[in-house]
Amino acid sequence: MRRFAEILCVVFLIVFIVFVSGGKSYSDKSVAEVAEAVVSAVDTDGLAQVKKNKITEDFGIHFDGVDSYVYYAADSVMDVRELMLIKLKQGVRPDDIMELIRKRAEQKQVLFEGYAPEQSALLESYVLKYKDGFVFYAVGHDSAQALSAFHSSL
Amino acid sequence: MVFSSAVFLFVFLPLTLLFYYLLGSRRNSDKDMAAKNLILCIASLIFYAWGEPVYIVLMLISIVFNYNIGMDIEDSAEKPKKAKALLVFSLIFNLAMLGFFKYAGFFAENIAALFGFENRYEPVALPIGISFYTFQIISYVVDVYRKDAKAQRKIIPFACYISMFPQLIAGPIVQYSDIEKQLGSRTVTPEKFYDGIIYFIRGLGKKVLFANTVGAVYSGILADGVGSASVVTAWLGILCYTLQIYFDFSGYSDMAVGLGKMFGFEFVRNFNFPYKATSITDFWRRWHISLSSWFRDYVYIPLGGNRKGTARTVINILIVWSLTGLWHGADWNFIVWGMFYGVLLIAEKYPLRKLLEKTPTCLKYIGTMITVMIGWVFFSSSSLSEAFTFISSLFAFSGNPLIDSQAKYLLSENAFSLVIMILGAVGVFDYVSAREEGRLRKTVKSAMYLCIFVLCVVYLISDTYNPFLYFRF
Amino acid sequence: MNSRNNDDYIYQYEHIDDGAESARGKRKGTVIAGITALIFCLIIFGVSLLHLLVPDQSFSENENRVLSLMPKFSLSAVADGSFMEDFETYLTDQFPFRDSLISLKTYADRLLGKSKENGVYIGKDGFLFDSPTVYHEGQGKSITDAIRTFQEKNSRLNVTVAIAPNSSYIYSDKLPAYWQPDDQRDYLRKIYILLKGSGVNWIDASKVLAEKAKSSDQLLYYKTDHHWTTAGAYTVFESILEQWKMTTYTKDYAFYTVADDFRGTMASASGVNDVGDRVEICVPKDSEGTYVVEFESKGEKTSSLFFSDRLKNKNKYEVFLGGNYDKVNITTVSPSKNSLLIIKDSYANCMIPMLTPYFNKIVVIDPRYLTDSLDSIIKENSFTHVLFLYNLNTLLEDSSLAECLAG
Repeated sequence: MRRFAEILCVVFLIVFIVFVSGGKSYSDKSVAEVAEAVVSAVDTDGLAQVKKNKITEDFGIHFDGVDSYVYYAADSVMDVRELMLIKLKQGVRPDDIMELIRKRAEQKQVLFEGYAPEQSALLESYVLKYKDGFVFYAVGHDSAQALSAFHSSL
Repeated sequence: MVFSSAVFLFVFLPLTLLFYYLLGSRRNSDKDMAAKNLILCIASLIFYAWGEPVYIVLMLISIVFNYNIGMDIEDSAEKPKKAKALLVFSLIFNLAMLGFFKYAGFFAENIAALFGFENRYEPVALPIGISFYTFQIISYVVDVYRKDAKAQRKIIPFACYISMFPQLIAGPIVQYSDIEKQLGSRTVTPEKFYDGIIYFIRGLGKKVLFANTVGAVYSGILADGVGSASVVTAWLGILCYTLQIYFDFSGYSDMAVGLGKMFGFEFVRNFNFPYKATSITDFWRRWHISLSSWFRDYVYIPLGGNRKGTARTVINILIVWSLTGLWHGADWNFIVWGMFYGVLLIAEKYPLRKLLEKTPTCLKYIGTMITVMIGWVFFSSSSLSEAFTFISSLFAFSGNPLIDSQAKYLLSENAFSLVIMILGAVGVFDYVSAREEGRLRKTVKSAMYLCIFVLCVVYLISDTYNPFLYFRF
Repeated sequence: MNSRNNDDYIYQYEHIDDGAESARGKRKGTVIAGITALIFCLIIFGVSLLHLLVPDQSFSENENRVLSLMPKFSLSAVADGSFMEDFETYLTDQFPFRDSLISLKTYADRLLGKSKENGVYIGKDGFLFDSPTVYHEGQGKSITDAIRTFQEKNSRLNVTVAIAPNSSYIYSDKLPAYWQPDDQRDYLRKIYILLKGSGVNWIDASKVLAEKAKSSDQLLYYKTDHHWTTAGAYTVFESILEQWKMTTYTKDYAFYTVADDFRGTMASASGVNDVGDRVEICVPKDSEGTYVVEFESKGEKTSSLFFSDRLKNKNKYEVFLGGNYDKVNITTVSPSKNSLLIIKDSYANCMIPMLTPYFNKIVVIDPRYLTDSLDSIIKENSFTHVLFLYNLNTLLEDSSLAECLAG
């Protein structure tokens, strides 16, 4: 009985190590599917899908590793809400793209810092996550709901 | 969760105390202990999960494994070979776990560099406290194997020992044989609870009022660039770090001892005024005592200690100290730091022994402190080259000026608090307060400690002061 | 483990006295011990109870920011630790008596002789200073190159550059002991040398301000804010007029005090709130109704450059121009044929009203917020003068000016 528990622990440890060092699972859902779930969780009033090359322009993200993406931004300059989903190609590590997004989020914070308290608070609480091949980035009051929708849709 | 946070002080601690003393109290003393251990165990797991919601799984696996192994080892006492095999099995398990989570990145990097290929390995995040609890587990299995302690037959007290929140994150490393009895029965008197509070506040004060402020000075100096700093600035910087690491670490140990007392435990003392040491040997008798005891009992002695001749002793000491260095962090500068002390200890033990006996105490003291501070340069730097830059500024190797306006400003700004902290670090205040305690003295002392607690809260909360400024206007 | 003694390589088996709290004097003080323990528990339980009882605030007046509220619980937020992080911020943000605790800390620090609080230096006589932005060769070069190119492109325009230093340079006698901030005069000299020979007029603002500070006891900079006062702006305004040789329409100017409890950005940043600053406005006499102000992006028109309702806000400097806008058009009844383009940061806001008698049109541009092209603005208007009016810190931190000038 004890021997069994011990062996089981060893197995669990190995599984756990594979789990934490892996993270290599890759979802075969499409961006559109995930985006649908995420968008339905947020208030999209004043948000609009942004034209094609915008993520290269604004974020400096190039398309080598990107499979597909959706990017919603607000129409008004003073509205800082954003929502972005990027599906990476299989085997592409998200670190570089996440670094670019992080950089741009910080730049945007600087832009509104010392200028607009509400916008700054939103920008400071941006959400950036990676899961199963998808990079998720959101700024807005309802980014937490969006994130949980993102998690549950995968 | 850290002790110096609002969550710990005003949510976790009151709730844990409440459950422990109200819900945990039973008439029957056995049941009472069982209930209290259960509550402490649950609280500890929550405490750990708060900071490591994923790695809590790792800890649970480790608890279950070693709980079973411990009983197995004891039950195989008549078959030494089997017992030994089980011990080796558990050591491999525990060390492999520590090795993977703490050192895999370091080894991969060095192996890659050695054979000249690109390192693609991405290390996983380090689980908090893994170095501490792995060592406690090893102490348990070895103590059981050596029959210094009985195997724990109940899983809750065992889980309690491994996960006990007061010392989980930063020690002291409790050896199982020291705490075995307390897991089964312990009492709390008002006096003991009071002592616990005093110890806790003392530790919190060291951390929040001393370590944090002096740490800010140190990081300010680092940010301005040590390479071009004046000699006085560089020494001020390393003095600040020297004080910071002592108050931070010993503060944490004090808080652990204090919290332990509040729940009826007695932990060993981890620091004994290390900056009063008059030799390196003396320093290590006073600094992080529980770690050096662990290495002595579970590495040095099993290696043969100093019973196998001078040559073996020297080798054993070097092995122990490179491991001690590596334990502090997976990087070369920690190994260098450990070896630095290994070599110094050997030097004090053999060639310098006679010389040191003749040296006046004050010279020995100064020499020890300078050595320790240079040791901290290696410890605090993120790489070896950074450490050498710091050292060259300390001794003006690259033509740094002796003193500049920055040094003068820093001195005028911090002289007062630095003097207070140095006096505190060498134990002047403790010497003053250690006399016979009368009613009045005790009242004054209690009031002072409560004030310190309030002051700590003031500083902790003010630290989060984050005004929105119209700097863009 | 009897072998321990023989094997002891650093340890002697001495008895370690377990600290000051030994068994001595116990029993006598059990009551005191009990009371102390009780007070300690009262504090930790009391704070949590207060926390539960007092309703959460969504905005902090003192810190002028949105406060965190109780984070939403979700398993994914717990798994990645963001719930715990947010909960800690929530606790500290909503901590009972938070504002009082913060001001208590600055008192305690000053008792200990600290003269620096959150990066702000606490000087003599209530002066607060921030450290000047460090000058980088590249930044200086990119700004001056942009201005040079601008002058070349628009060679018929009279281009003037005025860059104001900060209070730490002008009031160096009020600095805390031994603190030596970077020399802003040296930075300004570097910029001047880079601009030399480009045909751009250079106003030596640091010199005139320093001279004025010596000769008069008017405050040229706010003690608690990073801006100059209206008097400081007026000093530089005079030397700009001299440079432009505009004496024809010289008017009398009147100063009015509009507030005397202004606690500016440096007071907020440091939490040091002992003194308030006086805010003055300076207007040309009989200027009422002599201009119309158009805020293009807001689509609003007003007849005043002052917004007295902003005096109720924390940031009373907003009384000038009401804040920062990408583009503001001012049309005046001035008989002058001149028109002016101001490219500026917030330092200009309090000077603009002084300029109105001298131009029939003034266009004010803040490159940080401008999205239109500068070239088209210049084409649409027939400017005679261009004024770059900046504070040195903003100039050295900002990249939008060079970008805006490059088009």
